[in-house]
Amino acid sequence: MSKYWEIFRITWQQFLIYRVNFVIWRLRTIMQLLLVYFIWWSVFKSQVQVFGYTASSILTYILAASLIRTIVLSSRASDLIDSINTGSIVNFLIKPLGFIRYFLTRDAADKLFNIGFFIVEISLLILLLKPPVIIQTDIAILIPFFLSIAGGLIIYFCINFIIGLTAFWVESSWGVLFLMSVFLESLGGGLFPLDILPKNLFSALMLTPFPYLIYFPAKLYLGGMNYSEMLNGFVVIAIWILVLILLMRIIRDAGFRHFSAVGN
Amino acid sequence: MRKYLKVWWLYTINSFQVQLNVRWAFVLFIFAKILRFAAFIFFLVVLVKSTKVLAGYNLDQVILFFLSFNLLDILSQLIFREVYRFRAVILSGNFDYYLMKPLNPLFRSLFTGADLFDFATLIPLIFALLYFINKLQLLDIIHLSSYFLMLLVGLVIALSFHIFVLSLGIFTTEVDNAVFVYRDLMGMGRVPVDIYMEPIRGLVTFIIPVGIMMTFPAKSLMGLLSLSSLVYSILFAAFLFYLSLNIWKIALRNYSSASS
Repeated sequence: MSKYWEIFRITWQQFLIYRVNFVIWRLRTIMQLLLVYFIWWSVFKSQVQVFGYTASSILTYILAASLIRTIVLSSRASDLIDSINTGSIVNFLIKPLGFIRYFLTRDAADKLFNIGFFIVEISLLILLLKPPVIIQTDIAILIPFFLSIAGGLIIYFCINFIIGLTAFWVESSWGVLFLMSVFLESLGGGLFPLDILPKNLFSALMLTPFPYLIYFPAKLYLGGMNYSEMLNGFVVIAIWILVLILLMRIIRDAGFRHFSAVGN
Repeated sequence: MRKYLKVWWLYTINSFQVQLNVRWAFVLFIFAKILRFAAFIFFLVVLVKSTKVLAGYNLDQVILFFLSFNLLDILSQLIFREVYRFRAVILSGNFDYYLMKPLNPLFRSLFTGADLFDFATLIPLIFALLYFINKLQLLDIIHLSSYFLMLLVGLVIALSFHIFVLSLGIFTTEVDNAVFVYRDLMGMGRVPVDIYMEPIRGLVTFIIPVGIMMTFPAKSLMGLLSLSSLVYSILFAAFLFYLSLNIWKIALRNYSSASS
């Protein structure tokens, strides 16, 4: 356990070395949030209700989605691509370190660091913009909300890790990673709640893992989701987690069998 | 000038050949960019069809703003792609070679990695722009001239920002996120800056200046830009360019080689 604590500590120290880079990264997330926030804010200047959402529910959704993005989508699993490409992955073969656990620990460090910054940023934004946000206090909603976030971050880690593992076979995995980030940006629910989409498209999307990373937890937070919808959501999350973990292990083992290293 | 054009062409072909080595990855990049573009357009259509207007603009106008944003965004990515590789050049010490060769180091750092894959996305975009310009009945010489003038102003501002990023790279070696901050700032212009509340609107219009780069060209095309705003934009772009060149010179004086 202590060795993973050290990895956690070292990851934090690495963030602190490249402080400007990190601050700039956080600045980027604020700007992305401002764009989406103000599109919806502008819509509700002249409307009371759009797609069944009121100003307070949609702005709460956007801010909740931003928090969920920070928790779920901050990940170091893509570092795996560099480890494979540079050959430094051989360290995992000779050291008593769990390959997946190592990246999970780095992920946890990344998430905690980002959450710390997010709390400061969102407090400032709420103070400055004074949005009519809904503060959820119902424990029967908050428990499934946090559970769905946990599900989302496992799904996201697995997807990212699987993409990283493709570097065992291909020279550049960045194209796949970029495509995935675009899928997430477009179909994850960060820009808009997915239930404003045509019904058939929405139902089809809900079978993919993407809505469970941002949309589903944010929608849960707003309340108003009935038990059957909630249950359906958690069943799909559980199925995706099982499938992805299985796939991740198969690809990892195949990757290590395929891998060869030279040098001194 | 001819020498620089020839060098640019050679570097562009060279960079294209490097990209072709991992062509499937670049096909995925292009596909992802098209998907992102289509998803945002789809969102705007669904949204504005329901609300009828966004910040006082109808659907066709909102789409024109978005297409115009994309034109400038793609053009600046296509032209200034080499900036994205500058950090590695500084960290490895290879910038020393830029300084030693009989070629302006700023030119080498800015222009020599043009991305021809981006060019492929430019062609359908121009057709879409022409379609909406025609649909909004804006195809006349006055509107088009002011549009091109404002596009040029936008490109000069983009050029200045990229020079600032290069200078920051020399000062701090942290270029990667800085260039993406620029991209995200510009991303705030995907929709007309009129959506933002004051004082953010004033800030992103005149100070940062996303509005000048991304919103003003489409506004000038629709005849909604005042003469004073147009003159301000030109003067602002000229000042920013002058400032960026001076900061670049200071950065060069402060450059100390890296690596072994």
